[in-house]
Amino acid sequence: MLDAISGVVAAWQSLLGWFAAAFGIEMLQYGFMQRAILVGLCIGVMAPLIGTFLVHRQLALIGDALAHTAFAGVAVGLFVNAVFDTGVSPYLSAVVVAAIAALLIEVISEKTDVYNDVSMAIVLSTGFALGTVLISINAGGLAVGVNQYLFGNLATVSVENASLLLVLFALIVAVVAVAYKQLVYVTFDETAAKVAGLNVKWYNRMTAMLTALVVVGAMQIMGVILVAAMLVVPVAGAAQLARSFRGALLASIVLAELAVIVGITMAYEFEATAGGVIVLVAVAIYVGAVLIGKFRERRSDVVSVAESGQDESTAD
Amino acid sequence: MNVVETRNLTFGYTATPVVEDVNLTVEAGEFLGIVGPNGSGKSTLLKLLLGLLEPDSGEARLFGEHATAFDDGERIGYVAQSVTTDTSEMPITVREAVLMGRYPHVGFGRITEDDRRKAREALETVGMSHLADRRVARLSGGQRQRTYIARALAAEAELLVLDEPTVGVDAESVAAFFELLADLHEFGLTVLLIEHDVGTVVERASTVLCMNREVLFHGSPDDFVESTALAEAYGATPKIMGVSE
Repeated sequence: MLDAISGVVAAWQSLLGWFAAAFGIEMLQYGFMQRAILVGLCIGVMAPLIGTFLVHRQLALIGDALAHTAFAGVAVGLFVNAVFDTGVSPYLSAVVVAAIAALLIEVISEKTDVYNDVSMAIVLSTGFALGTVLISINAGGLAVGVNQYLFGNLATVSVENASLLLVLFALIVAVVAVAYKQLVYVTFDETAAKVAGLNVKWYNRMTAMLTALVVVGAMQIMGVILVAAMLVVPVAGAAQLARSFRGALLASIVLAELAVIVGITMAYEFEATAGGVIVLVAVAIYVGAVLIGKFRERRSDVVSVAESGQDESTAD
Repeated sequence: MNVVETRNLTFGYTATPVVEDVNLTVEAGEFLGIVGPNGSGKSTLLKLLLGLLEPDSGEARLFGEHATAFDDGERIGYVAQSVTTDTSEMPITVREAVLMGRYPHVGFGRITEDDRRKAREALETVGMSHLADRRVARLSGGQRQRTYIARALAAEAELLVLDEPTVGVDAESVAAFFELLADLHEFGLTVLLIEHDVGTVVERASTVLCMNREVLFHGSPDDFVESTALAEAYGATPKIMGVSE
């Protein structure tokens, strides 16, 4: 199974390699950049895909909370590897710990009936504190390796990690494709969704778990600290431009991909941290979207005033 | 079979009951208006009837089934209290929101042309076709009301449940809204309505339930006007003056 997936990664790499040779694009001829772009493109789809459902439930912060607990998961993985001399991928332990934290946040919110930012903040800081403590008591030069998880790194995307991300990507896209209608209903009108017979609790838990998967998947490039931005910023930009939910979802993916491609290219050219550059590009796109949105709104106000004038005259 | 049936229904968020010993039957085709002062447990009663809350004692049945176990979601159209004042900026069009009424029918399947047609017809019925592509967040309170009603119609719901649907809606739209509601009731829909304007309920509903934790009155609007229930529920200054508006 995993062989087949690394086969996909290899195929992608040879495709980009051919592309690099054919068009003389230097950036694309390196194996690590080929994998980084693959991972980036996947992030550009799955982060806004899940982020759209979070932002419109006013849960923009949950990504941050889960990213910080994912860091605890990374620390657990590194710790276990050092103590028991095993080779568990820290991303795998991060998936497990973040998923547990996601459930925890959901259960807390079910019990208290509201999402409060206090419980989110507590989960966030507990996760990060646990991570730093585990790493500090784990002697043996681990501090060097931690930066890669905190800030992300284009150069460390291995075939194995790229394969793991492809699995997460496929899972997330498949779940949203199957449960799209239910997720939209729950996001739009939770009570009515309950009355309509949907198991809202179950869908909320699922969304939180999917968020955990996205966060861990995107962490390789974005880093713990910035990963949540990809869940929120493109979605906020798209909401300025689109009228329909489907349109907003597609627009958020387009904006995120734009940020990823421009960001990775600039990071490569200027030798800057990719996560930071991607987020800055995404924010710049957001600002642009807000301006376009304001401009359009002003214009449509004029139109709707004219329309309502028409309505009145036909009503008479 | 009765649409709604409760037996000794009691519920409290804490030890103090908010709804106490309610015995209520709503028949198919009835238009029940629920009135009572603020904090009298009206919304809580509605949540119990819909199975959103588990009763402390007694039981609530929806279409003959235990309300909390009822999962024929498409038979009920629900319009929450907050819809007119909700400030959510979620990008979603009127058309998309109304199509949600078809979701319980479709499940994990695909939306068909038939579903889209039913949504279109529902929009036409409530007079919102011309705003189908507008964002719900950009609608007035009255237009939003109609959108949610259209969603219930698209679901082909048999029971329409409305919790204070006219809060924050201008007077003209309120009048038009109740006209629409009367048409739907005439057409055979069972309606459960919580409304703060007692006058409107007396005028429109076929049955009135007046409560303040317990049921104070349950019967025809004419008998309700003659009764002392309103004075009991609200204290010395009954709000029924609204009848003669």
